[in-house]
Amino acid sequence: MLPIFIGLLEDAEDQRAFAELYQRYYGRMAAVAARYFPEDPQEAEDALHNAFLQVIRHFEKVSSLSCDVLPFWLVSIVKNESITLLRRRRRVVPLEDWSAFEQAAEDGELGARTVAEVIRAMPETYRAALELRFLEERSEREIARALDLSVSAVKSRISRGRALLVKRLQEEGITP
Amino acid sequence: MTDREVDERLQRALLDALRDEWEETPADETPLSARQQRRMQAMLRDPNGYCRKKSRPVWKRAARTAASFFLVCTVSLTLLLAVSPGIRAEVLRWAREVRDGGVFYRFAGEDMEPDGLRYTIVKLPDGYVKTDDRTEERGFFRVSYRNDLGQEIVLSCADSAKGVVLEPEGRGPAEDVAFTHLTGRLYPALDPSGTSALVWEDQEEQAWFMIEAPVDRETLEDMAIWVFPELPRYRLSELPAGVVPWETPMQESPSSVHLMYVDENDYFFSLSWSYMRQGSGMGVFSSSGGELHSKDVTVNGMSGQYYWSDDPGESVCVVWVDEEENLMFTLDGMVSKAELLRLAAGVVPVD
Repeated sequence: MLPIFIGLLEDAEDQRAFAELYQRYYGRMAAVAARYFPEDPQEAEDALHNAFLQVIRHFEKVSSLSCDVLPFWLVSIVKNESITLLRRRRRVVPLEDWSAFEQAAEDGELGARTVAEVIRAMPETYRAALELRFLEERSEREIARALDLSVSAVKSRISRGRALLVKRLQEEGITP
Repeated sequence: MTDREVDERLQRALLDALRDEWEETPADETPLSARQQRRMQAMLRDPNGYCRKKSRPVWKRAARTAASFFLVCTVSLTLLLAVSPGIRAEVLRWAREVRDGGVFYRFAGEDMEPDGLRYTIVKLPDGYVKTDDRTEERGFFRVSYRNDLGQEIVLSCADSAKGVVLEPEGRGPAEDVAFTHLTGRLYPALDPSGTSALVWEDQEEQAWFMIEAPVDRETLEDMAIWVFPELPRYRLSELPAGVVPWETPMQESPSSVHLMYVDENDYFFSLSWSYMRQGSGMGVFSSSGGELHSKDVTVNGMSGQYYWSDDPGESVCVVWVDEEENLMFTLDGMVSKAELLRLAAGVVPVD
């Protein structure tokens, strides 16, 4: 049970809105975090908690999103907080081979038919960098801090990822 | 196609990928650990304060954002209060509304400000304890804290309307500073062992404040963020065997205090009370998403409600209102209804 006092009128809508958001999306967000930490529910809870802190910090943005988009934006936050936590706590960070991925995408070996499927098959920090840049509108420096990468590594991920997706969008006839 | 349009397409593709992921994610509720329950309770109770504790810059106030998606997703509380016959409002000062799996209380009475002006710094640097407080004259209040080394922190408060001026003496040239949503003037110490002062006006509180302390600027600002009206203190007169208060009562927002009790295993129950001002309120939610049930109860002659959910693993809660003191209390815990009501009856003021 969660009894929550709501502050003065000025903040009441925000606080109530946040409580409702929690109520409505907590379950799915927890499930997303759990996918990243199948053996460690405590780590999953940490990632989820950090995601809610991000929601609070960016509440102005969150509150401007439509109901059609909000849940997916929240998935992005909790997923990227999970990746951040994983990268910080892993002793060995796996190498991501972009060239191999790019080649596989070109050769049609990914089995991915749509742009969305290509995105889902992407190495995780490439996709995370794109989401943080294009959905959360974070700066390259902020993304670098969040993903524990150098600014140049972030730049290269955004540039390569964007170029691949634009090419794919062109192939699908979505962009000229 | 411009770069911006390409980026918009990309954004849509990224969202499509996330949508697929969302749809594949099971909607089953994941049970919360006791630790996570504690953290989420603290966060939900006061997102602003919680975030302030965790980092800065903080919670952005978006209450007035007309495009709030909640206005699209749900009917606004105000509207419901005005038109819904389902809302209980038998007492004009209080409204209780059941919706969206939660229960919302809203106080609509007149503010009953306590006599005099009393504030406190709820988060002090380590080692400091309150040593003295006094009202110098009407509209001016001072409280001091001291550590084992004899160093002193002094908080002075003045009612803006009374025209009292707070101006420290014997300090270096002042500089303008901004912290969270407040702005003020910093008067640095003249020597490294001296005291600096921070002066600011809080228009919400209609008061001027000054903290004088032998600390650096950042610590002064941290203390300033945690200057709140002093609320009365309560405690549970009788505790079950092995249950103890977890830390001291925590005032996490200007109007509410929270006290958690633990046993040797972990979370046991928590007591909160909040001073009600016009427009403030309280919400009760099921943390597992289960359906909420309630029953009217009486706690020490005061009316209230007992809440439980379908989930037997979830804590239960009792809410009651002390109309004389204008305080709302909540007590929730992993105990039986009888035990919870017995504990609630034992809530007494601290002398």
